[in-house]
Amino acid sequence: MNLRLVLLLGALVASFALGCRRAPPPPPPAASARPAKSAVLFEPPPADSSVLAGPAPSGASAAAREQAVIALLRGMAPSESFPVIATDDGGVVDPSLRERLAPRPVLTPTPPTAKGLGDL
Amino acid sequence: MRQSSVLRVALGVLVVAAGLIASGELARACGGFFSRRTLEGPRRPALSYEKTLIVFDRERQREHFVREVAFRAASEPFGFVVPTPSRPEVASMKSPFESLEREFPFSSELGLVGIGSRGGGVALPARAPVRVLEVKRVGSFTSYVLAANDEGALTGWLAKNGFVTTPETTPWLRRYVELGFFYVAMRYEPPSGRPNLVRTNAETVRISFDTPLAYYPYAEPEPPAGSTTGAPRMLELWYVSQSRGVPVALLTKGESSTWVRPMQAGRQFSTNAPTLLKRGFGSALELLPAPPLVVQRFIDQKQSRSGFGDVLFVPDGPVNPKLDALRRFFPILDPALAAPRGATP
Repeated sequence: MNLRLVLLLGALVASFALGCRRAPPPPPPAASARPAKSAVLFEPPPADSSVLAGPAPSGASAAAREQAVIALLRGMAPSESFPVIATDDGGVVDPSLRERLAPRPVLTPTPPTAKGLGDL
Repeated sequence: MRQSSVLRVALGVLVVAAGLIASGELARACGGFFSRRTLEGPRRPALSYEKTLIVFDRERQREHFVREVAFRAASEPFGFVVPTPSRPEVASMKSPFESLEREFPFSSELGLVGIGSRGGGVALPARAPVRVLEVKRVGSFTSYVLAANDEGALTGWLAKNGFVTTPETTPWLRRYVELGFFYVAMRYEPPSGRPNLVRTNAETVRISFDTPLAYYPYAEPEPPAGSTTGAPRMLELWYVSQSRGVPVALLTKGESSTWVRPMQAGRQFSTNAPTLLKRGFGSALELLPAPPLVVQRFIDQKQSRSGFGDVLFVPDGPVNPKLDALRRFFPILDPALAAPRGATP
C-alpha cells in the first residue's frame, strides 16, 4: 500500500515536472506591439520552428479565402513563425556581404607629424 | 510606387534603354531592364545593393518609401517602375542611410546591449488606358506618375518612352493593373559629355502614398527564359512605425502557395528619444510620426525573387482594422481573391 502511494506520488511529481518543462517561455519584450517609453534595443528573437500557412486550399469558398487573409491582416495569424526565406538556399544572411558589394570608404587618419622628441 | 522599384523599389525595377528598343533589349532578373548592350557590357548599372527606408504612419495611413539608387558607370539611360496602391508623391531627398547604418545597425558583435497631396482613391477614368498624372525631374531621373487600366497600353507607353520591356513585363504589370495601382516610372538621364565610368553614383528618392498597411513592391518580373542569375545581391531595410510589423509575402512554387517572411530580421529598437532619432534619421526626420517609435532592421540576400509576391507588413498582434480599406490588398496574399477582369475601377 505504501509502495503504491509512493509510486503514485512519484508519477505525479514527474508529470508535473515534465509539464513545467514543456511550458512555453514568457514572450520576449520585443513581442510587445507598442514601443517602450524609453530607448531600448532588442536583439532579434531566436528562430522558432516555422509554421506553414497560406491561402485557403483550392476549392475553398471565397468566404473561407477571405477569412484566412483577414486573420493575417488582423494580426490573428502566427506570422512571426512563418518561414524566413532571405537567401536562395534558405540559410541565414551574411551582413558582411554589404562590404563586398558596396565597400564603405576607409577613413585613414593622417598620422601626426613628429617635429621633435617633445611631440612623441 | 506601385510596381517595382525605384523604389520598388521595390522593386520591380524596369530599366530603360532609350533609343535601344530596336537593338534587342533584354530584361534582367531583379526587375531591372537593361539593353542587351548594357547588360552584357561593363557598363551595366550596379543595382546589386539596395537600401530602403519605410516610414509608415499607422494613424495617418501614409507611407514614405525612401530608396537609395546606387549605380556605377551609367552612361546610358535606365529606369525603374514602382507600383503604389494610391497616387504617389515623388521627390528627391538627401540620403539618410549613412546615419541609419550607424545608429540603427542590423546586428552587433557586442551582443545584447541596452541603450538609452494625398492621392487616395484608385478610381481610374475609363477614358484613357494610360494617364500621365505628373512629370518632373527628380535628381538625375525623370519621374512619371502613371495610372493605367490596360497592361498592354502601359507596356506600349513604357516602350515608347524609352523603358525596355520584355515578354515577362506584361504579366507583371497585369497584376497591378488588376489591383488598380498607380505607377512611378523613373528614367535616368545620363549627363551629357563623357561620363565617369568608375565613379559610383547614388541618389535617394522618396515616394509617399496613402495605404492602410505598409507596402513594399517586392515582386519582380520573371527573368527571361534561359537567363541565369548568380550575382550576389543584398537589400537592407529600415522599417519604422508606431508599432512592429511583420513582412509577409506569398511564395508560389508550382501548385503550392505559402506565406513566408522574405527578409531576415535584425535588431529592433523601441525609442522615443529625440536625440537618437535625429542622429539616426537626419534628413528623414521630418517624415517620422510622433514618437514613441519602433525601428526594425531587415536584410534580404536572395538573388532571385521568382515566385515571391509583394510584401505587406502585417501586425504582430490582434488589431481591428477597417476591412474595406484592406480589401484591395487581399489578392496580394491570395490571388484567387482578385476581382474578375473588368470589375476593377
